[in-house]
Amino acid sequence: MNLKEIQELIKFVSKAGVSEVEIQQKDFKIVIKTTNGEHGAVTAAPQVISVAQPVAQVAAAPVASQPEAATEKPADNGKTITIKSPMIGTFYRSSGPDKPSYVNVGDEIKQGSVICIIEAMKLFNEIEAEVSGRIVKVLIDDSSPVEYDQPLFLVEPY
Amino acid sequence: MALFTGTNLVELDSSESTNNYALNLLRKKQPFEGTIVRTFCQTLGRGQRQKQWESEDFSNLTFSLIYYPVFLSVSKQFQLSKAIALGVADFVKSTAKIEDVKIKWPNDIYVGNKKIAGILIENTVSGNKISSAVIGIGLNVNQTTFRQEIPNPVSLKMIAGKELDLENCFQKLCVSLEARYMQLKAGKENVINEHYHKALYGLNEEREFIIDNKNMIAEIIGVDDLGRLKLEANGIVTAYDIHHVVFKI
Repeated sequence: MNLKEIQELIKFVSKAGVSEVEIQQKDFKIVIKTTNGEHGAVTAAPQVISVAQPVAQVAAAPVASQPEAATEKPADNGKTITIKSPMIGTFYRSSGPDKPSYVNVGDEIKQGSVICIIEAMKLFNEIEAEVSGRIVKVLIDDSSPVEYDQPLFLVEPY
Repeated sequence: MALFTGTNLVELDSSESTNNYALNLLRKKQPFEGTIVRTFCQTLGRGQRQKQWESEDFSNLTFSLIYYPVFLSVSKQFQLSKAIALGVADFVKSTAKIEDVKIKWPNDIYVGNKKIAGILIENTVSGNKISSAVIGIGLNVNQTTFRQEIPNPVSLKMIAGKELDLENCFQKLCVSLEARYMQLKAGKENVINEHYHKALYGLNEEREFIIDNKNMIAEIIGVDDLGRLKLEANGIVTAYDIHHVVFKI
């Protein structure tokens, strides 16, 4: 499905007055939700789509600017990946107390990008993402202890 | 000469932190294993997180070494810390010709009750593997006066009673580090573990600690595989990480 077809689909859905449409083909899946079941205007449409698999790059940009509440929805229907701690240690979201966080909710991450630090016995480990996607939720507070395999982030994969 | 450690040398006139410089190098490309970033003027040297490492210009060794210990699983990473600490301790022993060189848990190098070197390791972890390690080492060589706030410092010159050649020290330290790294790579964990414990500061001694903000007397039993300090108090052995126990020296 190309971008034009997706746009047509969104138009169609918003005119039809339904609140949610889900289409799945082979390795492609698209979910279109309208806000509060209202007839969404076409310009508002990008707010309400969430896309997984091949065309993700195209659809991702407008989604990233959405408020957290909306973007967290996919977490409920099992489309997210949980990034877990590879070790016991202390979880840090930034490289230092006065430094910005590596990632925040809504940020896009790429495979290989640093998402946090876990310190164990004075060894500082920059943890790289193994998936590309978007951070949906940060599950641990900065400077908290973490156990092996403890969930750290929810990511909506691309 | 070491085979690969320090062979590729990035010399900086001055640097805020050689570890930061090395970490940036790694983000751009994959430098040769053993690449060292070195400066004789480090302005914002880092110790643990909020702590600083201060060094007088042109007096000491401050550098960062890049290794790729991909053979180590994340759960074994403290082995790297042990191996590097032993490498620095080996060098200090042979250069200062003294036996009383200890590793204060987890990886500070002490001569008697005084600190001569510090190590800061920053790994990059992908999945369950360590893809790279930036090993920052600060070693006091010819500095003889230190700021008052620095607890118990000592330098090679203060022990040996004479000025040492920095370049010569650097070359020898590279050899010592590489020897221990190769030992680790060859899977000689038992040897490293045994030597680490032999060099462990305060082993089998009763000492004062601050444990979870309380003063306690406990005996150091050893260090477990995760790198936690095992202390025995009132007949009970407990393993502590560095956030829960502080040495009182």
